[in-house]
Amino acid sequence: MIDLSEFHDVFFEECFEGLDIMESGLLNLDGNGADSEQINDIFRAAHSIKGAAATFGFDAMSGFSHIMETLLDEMRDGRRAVERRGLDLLLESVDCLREMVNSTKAGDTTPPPVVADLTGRIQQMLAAGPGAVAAAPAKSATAEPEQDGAPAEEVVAAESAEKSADSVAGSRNLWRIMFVPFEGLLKTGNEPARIFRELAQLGILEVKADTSCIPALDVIDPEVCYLSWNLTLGGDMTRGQIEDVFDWVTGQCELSIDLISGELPTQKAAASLSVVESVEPPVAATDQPAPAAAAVAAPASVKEESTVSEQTESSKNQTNAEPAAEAADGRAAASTAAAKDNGSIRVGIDKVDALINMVGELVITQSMLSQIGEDLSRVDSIGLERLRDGLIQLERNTRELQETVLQIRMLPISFAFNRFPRLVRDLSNKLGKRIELKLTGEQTEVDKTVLEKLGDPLVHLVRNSMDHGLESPEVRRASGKSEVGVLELSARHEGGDIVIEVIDDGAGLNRERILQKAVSKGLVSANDDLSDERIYNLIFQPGFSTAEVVSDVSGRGVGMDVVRRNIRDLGGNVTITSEAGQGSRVTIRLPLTLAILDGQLVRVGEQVYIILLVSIVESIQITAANMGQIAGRSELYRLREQYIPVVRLSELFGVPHAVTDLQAGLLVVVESEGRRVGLFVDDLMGQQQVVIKSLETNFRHVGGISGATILGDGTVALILDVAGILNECARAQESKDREFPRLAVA
Amino acid sequence: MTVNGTRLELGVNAGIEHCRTMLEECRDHAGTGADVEINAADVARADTATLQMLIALRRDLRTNGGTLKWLAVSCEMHDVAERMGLIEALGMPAVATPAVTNSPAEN
Repeated sequence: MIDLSEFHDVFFEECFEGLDIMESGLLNLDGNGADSEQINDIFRAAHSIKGAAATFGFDAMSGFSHIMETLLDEMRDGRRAVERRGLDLLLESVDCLREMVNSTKAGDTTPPPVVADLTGRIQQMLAAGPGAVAAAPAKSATAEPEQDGAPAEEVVAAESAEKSADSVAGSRNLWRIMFVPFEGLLKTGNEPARIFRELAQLGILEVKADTSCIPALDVIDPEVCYLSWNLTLGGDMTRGQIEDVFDWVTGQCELSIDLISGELPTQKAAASLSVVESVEPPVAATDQPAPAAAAVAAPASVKEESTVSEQTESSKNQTNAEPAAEAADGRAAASTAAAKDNGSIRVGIDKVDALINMVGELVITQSMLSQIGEDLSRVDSIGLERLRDGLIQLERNTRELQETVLQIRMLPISFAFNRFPRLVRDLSNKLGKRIELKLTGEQTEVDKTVLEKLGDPLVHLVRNSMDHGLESPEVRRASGKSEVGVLELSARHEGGDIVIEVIDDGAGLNRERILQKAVSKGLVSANDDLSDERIYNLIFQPGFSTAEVVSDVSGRGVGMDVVRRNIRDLGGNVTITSEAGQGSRVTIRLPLTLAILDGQLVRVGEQVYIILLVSIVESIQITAANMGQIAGRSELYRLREQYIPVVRLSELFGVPHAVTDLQAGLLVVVESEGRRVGLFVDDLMGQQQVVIKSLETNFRHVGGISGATILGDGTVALILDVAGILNECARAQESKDREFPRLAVA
Repeated sequence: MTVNGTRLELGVNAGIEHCRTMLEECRDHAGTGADVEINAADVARADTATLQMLIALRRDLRTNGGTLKWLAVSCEMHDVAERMGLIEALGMPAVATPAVTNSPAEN
């Protein structure tokens, strides 16, 4: 028995991909006018969503996609101009469809109220006629026949016949379609009835089923498709339109589509659907067909796929350009939410192949070592040599396997960047600014977890640039700049990090105003001699905003500190540079992956702890002269004119037999969110890459500890939560206990 | 799907998810040479898997001297069968007959 819900996750994933294609395609059309290939891409994406939704029984989604597809079809065929009004409506529809996918994914298939409104508006647009046709008709590029494998003469002949037939307005083409599904077609959730229903929408369809391959009941597998069909389709459709209908079953059937001359018999045209004629093997006995029942129902009719609701004036008024930016943001949030609960990842087959190859190597090495291990007592010098070789090989295999597995988690950053064309378009309209978005390095790969958590900080930064950085066209013109501001999002690999930049050519940060605000908030002293960089980076302080007007776009001072915290949570850092009148550049530097990080092993008593290298500023030997105490309890260390609190890890975690004489140990200075603390340890050990295991999952939350890892000798080492320790330290100082709390580890 | 004597009651969902259960019922009848009645009045969903199985049932019944009779066919079921060009192979009436009429089992 097939449980179609098994395929739901894949369906939703493909829906989101399709919606992204539609959105970016519509945005491209918005900027660049009619492009036949672009329209085809959008159409195909809508068509795929429609077909798949129908397959899974998500009728509202399928119906709504259908009406979008109808509008797109007019654009695709050049019957309708590609203009702003239609594109706006389609973009709104994409948002709506995305909402439907999200709610369906959450188990609610009730269409949102906006569906009725949008359906009405699209229908109104369709009913009003095509309007001005695009100057360059978007004739379907893919509508041209693709005759792979056919002799050249046949290709030419077919193309010629098709073009000739297509070029006559109102002409009736007649197509013969042979559709032979492979055995597994039904198991993939595909349903021929759905395909035929879509074909019937293109014109008049005649269906001849071949049932001769259906075996007897005692051997039949009901999930195998034994049927095949010969179809005749008449109407003004192109090959591309027919191929689009079969898109979903490509590779799962034999399909031939031939243009034949002549007209489809019209005798059943009124029914507009199918004519029954099946090819059956002869049988010995004669059946007694059931007599027609007394109660005769209305003739079978094609069910409308879409539900069209009445459009009211009020609902019309509710949907306009005003909430566009909010919608974009909501969409971004929904997309992020969807991404967060999405536990799957699409992996290129080359990466999987590499992984399989690596595992194969590992098996060989394991086999070799097992052979040596079978009788260790007989291992001679040659055997020892082989053992050593085997271990070296094992180390190499493990490293390569680790690298290959990590590659699987890497996704192009375009997944995070793709939301911005829409966001920038909607927001620039709202702000009355003209902004060109440039994306570079979209194929730069980054760990999936990093990617998912990067979205929100980037949205904050882009919105800030657009709201505060980039000026209005009038201001730009007055200052001798182009009216169109440029906002660039770029990504690149640099060393072991990924560097992402948000650059704008706006007014730049106002140094004086930031300084003034920082002084008024007591963040710095008016007498402090601060570098530009230090001043600019003050905007990352919580609650810091120099915006004179708090808008719903930005300016509440809740954005930039969240940006920094999120980036630091990812083990990265963010900096900003700016030049008055020339613009700003926010640079985010992140580790490539969070799954494996570099750590410094430190010893405290007999315990080994790990401090992530990204947190360590430096490690120093303590000079007694630089030590001090507050109120006789809290210890401070003077490090180059700066006093930093000292935390004895042995006291923090209650570790016995640790070094107590400060000069006999080491101070590891760590930093988090601009705050520093010196962790007193007995000794530094080596550095190594650590695979982080969750302590909460395997044990429980422990203050000051962010996780654990397993060392080479099999022992468990705890990884210090530097931010947590700093928070405890700050809390202790604020409570004036003057004593650092002790975090007990059970 | 339920069985009532030689009558098969197709439920609301006659989709591929239920076809294995249906197959068992169909097999029970196929070799008997009996006249089997099908009530598809409530079917809201049917697909290729179900229809081809019913064609096999009809064929097997005929081979063994039996017949397959449609007591009622919902519009939805009829629509799918018609769309797929299977009305004749299934021996379905030319139009949907959503109400059960003259059912011997109910008399």
